[in-house]
Amino acid sequence: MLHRPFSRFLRWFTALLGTYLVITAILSTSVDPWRINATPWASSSLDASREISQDRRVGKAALANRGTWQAVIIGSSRLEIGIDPTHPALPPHRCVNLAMTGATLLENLTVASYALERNPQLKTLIFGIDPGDLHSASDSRNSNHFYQSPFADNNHSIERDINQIIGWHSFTESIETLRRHWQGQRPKFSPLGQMLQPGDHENLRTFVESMPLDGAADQWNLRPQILQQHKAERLAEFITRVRQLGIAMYIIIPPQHALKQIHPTEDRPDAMGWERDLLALREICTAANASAAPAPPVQLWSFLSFNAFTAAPMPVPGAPCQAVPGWFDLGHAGSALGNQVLDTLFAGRPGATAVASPVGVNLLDAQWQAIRAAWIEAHHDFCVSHPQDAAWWRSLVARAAKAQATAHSPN
Amino acid sequence: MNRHGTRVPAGGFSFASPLVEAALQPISDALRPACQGRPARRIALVESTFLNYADVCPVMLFSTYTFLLVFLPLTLAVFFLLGRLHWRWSTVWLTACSLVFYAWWKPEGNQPWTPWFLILIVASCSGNFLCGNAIARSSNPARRRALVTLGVAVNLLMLFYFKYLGIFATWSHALTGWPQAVPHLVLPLAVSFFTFLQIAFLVDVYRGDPTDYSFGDYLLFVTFFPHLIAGPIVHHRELISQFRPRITKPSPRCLAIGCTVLAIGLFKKIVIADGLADTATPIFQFAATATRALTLGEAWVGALAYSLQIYFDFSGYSDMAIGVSALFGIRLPLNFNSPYKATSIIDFWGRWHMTLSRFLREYLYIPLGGNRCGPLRRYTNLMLTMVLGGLWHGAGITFVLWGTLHGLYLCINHAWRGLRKSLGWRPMPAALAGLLTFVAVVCAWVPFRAGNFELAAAGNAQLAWHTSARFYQAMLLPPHGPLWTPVTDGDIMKVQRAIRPLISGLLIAFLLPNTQQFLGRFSPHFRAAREPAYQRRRWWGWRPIPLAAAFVFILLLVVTLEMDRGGEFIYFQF
Repeated sequence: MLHRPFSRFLRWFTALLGTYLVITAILSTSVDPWRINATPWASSSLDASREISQDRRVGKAALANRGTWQAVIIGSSRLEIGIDPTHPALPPHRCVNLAMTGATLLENLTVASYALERNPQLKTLIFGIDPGDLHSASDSRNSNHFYQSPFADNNHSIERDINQIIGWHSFTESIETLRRHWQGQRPKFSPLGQMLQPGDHENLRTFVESMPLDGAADQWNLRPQILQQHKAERLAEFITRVRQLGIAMYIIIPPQHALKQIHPTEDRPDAMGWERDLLALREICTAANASAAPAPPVQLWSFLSFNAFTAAPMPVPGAPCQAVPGWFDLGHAGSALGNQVLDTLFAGRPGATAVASPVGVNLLDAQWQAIRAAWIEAHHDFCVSHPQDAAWWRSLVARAAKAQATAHSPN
Repeated sequence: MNRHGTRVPAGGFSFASPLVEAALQPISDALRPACQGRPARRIALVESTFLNYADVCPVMLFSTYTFLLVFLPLTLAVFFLLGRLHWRWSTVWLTACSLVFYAWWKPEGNQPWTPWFLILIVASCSGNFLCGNAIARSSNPARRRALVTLGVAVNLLMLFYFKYLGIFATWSHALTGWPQAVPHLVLPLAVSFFTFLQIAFLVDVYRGDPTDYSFGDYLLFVTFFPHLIAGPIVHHRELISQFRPRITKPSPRCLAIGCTVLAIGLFKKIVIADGLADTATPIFQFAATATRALTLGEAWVGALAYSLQIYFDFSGYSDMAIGVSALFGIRLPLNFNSPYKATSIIDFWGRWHMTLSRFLREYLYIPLGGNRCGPLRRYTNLMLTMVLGGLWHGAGITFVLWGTLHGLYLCINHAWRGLRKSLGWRPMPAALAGLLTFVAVVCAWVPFRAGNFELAAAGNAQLAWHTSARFYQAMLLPPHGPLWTPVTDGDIMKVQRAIRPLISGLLIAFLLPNTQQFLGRFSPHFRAAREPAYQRRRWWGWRPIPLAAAFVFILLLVVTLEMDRGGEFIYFQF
């Protein structure tokens, strides 16, 4: 008698909790919003509606886990937006874009290792390194997004697995996926991991003016910066490992708009932008290629160049359209330039379109002095041919430098 | 740009007033980290600024699915199944599960698991049990005294080695240049808690308390997982007396009440405390990184938000511990009793972390002489007790400052009380006394929170010290400029981010009944013999009806919604 009300309480409580858990588990495993559960009963018809933009590290880990990839693209948002895994030069349905917004070198090496371990048929690895990364202490693994993703080897896999099955976020994402499916709405990411809709800046000029431009000092070696030795060592070890596995690796410095490459004051500077980084990478790759391995030597390509794509002019102030075709902002180009990057990388391969003039340069093929001289000449030509754009950009850089100097003044 | 991706104001930040800065400089210089190697420290809160991937330590938290849906149901089910064979099997199982719970912790995220810490806790239990038995068996007073001194000293040495060696070496290096390097020491999980439990045990045996426990019972008493890693600091008499056959029979009453208290604790921690952390953390980080000066509003909002955060975090954890323990039919003592409703600091310490206060009173303050040797000795004892209490919370200078502040508050409170009585004055109005107490407590939490910047892997004492100074500067002598919303990064002070959580927290802390009041006569906490079990029924009080089941389910649903945050409990670091 005494226990009857407590038993009734427990019956109600377990019924409510059990119903919630069962419904959520069924929904999450059958909809599988991030493709992470990969249950046999997960609906394949929903694949085009699955969205990973809010949880891309979870979603990309799920993609990496598939185990059937022959080519993998890794890097930051520049590759996530720009490199199309369905490019004809890449193996059809066997290439995935695992690049992620905000990812820096150490996280990318972790992601690459994760992909390597799970995809035994991997033959090609396109690995993007943002300029400046080798000299910067930043480590994007120090974020909750990475920490909560399967890429982090931190003994939290059980917690993550349960969360992805019965967590409230899984439940709401499952409902959202179904809603997108029924309304025919496309997600921001392709099923192969490329970001398709990075979002529009209606007025690119205003957007750029609102952004912080504090990289010029590092870009032009205006302040001392030390090479992050541990990053360089990890990269060298990784290249050696990849070559031993017989995988062709392409390291690329992703393209940026020409304005982001020009010197703050000089039309004909006496150095290349990010020269320290390029030289350090060249040294690392040359050393790694010196050893014998079943794979071809690693290639190192810089797409920091001046060409028809990167030198696209800024819109005239007051014109109705204030966008620059092919560019999301001045640091992120779309697939049009990305395809040129792939055509340049895979020139001569089936599926690659012949390019009239390559949009990048293989830093290991040519003499450094020749590369340097050609780049400086192209820099000069751009500044002379786009004087208004260059002046506008330089005024922004000068303003940012002044603000930074004031902020660091003693008082 | 600051680390939040927002613009830093032109003009930069000027540190506290020259007077304050000049006063702090010698201390700050002495605290500057100069040693090679790192002192013993462990990430406690996941601070985005100081988070280092390699330093994140996986612990089995009560607020994880792994615990709630795997570990706890499995432990409970097997516990009751084995109870059908013999109740001893159940307690053996519970001990084994408690050790697994402890061993789940991996001190350094990128290092392989090691049994060393498991061996350490079992060895500590074995040593203390043997020492306690030797004291109990001996009738020679000198031998008993020697044994208890040895036992307590070994416990304190262990605590000192793991927790304080690093900080003292750093201070010594700053002052004398010695030692050159401090070895990297990992602070074993819960070392402060299980050391205190066992010191209390040894002292009680020495005092002649009957302690004819088996080793199995003793091991379970120390390692019982609901209280193991963050308290309450249980007394051996309270817990071991409950290890009886009846606990292994599943009781619908215990299960229903346990689930309710667990759900309330989860709600307090995950919904309220973690929500308040979103307000407090960025403000403290601004103060730490000195990207700009705090406004008056920010400083008070940050201090208040943290005061509420730590209360809901720790009282939530204590509720969870009591609730989980209740599922096994075992009662743990209360740890909180609406401390912010206290009308004096003396009252506050009777309501905040009650089991620690009890320990400090019985095993430190009273043995030091308590209030029996005159006012001067009494105030000295109070200061010493609170400073050591502060140091117990963290091996850092700001924790010492926090303890010193509370020691001073207590001295002033006792002196004021004595003066008032001698002059025949009436007590202050309760509302005014409560407000004064609350403001004093809030001010003291500032250095306590800043202490995280000393414990974090990339932190140091100087940073913690300066953070406190910047906070006090903004709270008391705000710089010229806006008083409330800053010129930049104003999002922090938005209504939905700062004001709404703060007011909600204040209303819950001050107006709503606490967990034991809500549960009333059903409250599953351990009651002292003098405490009446029966309390008057209230219309809002909990009772075992389907509506209450729905209420608990809704609490859990809201908890699930917020569970992706993945924060840690503040008190794990102690």
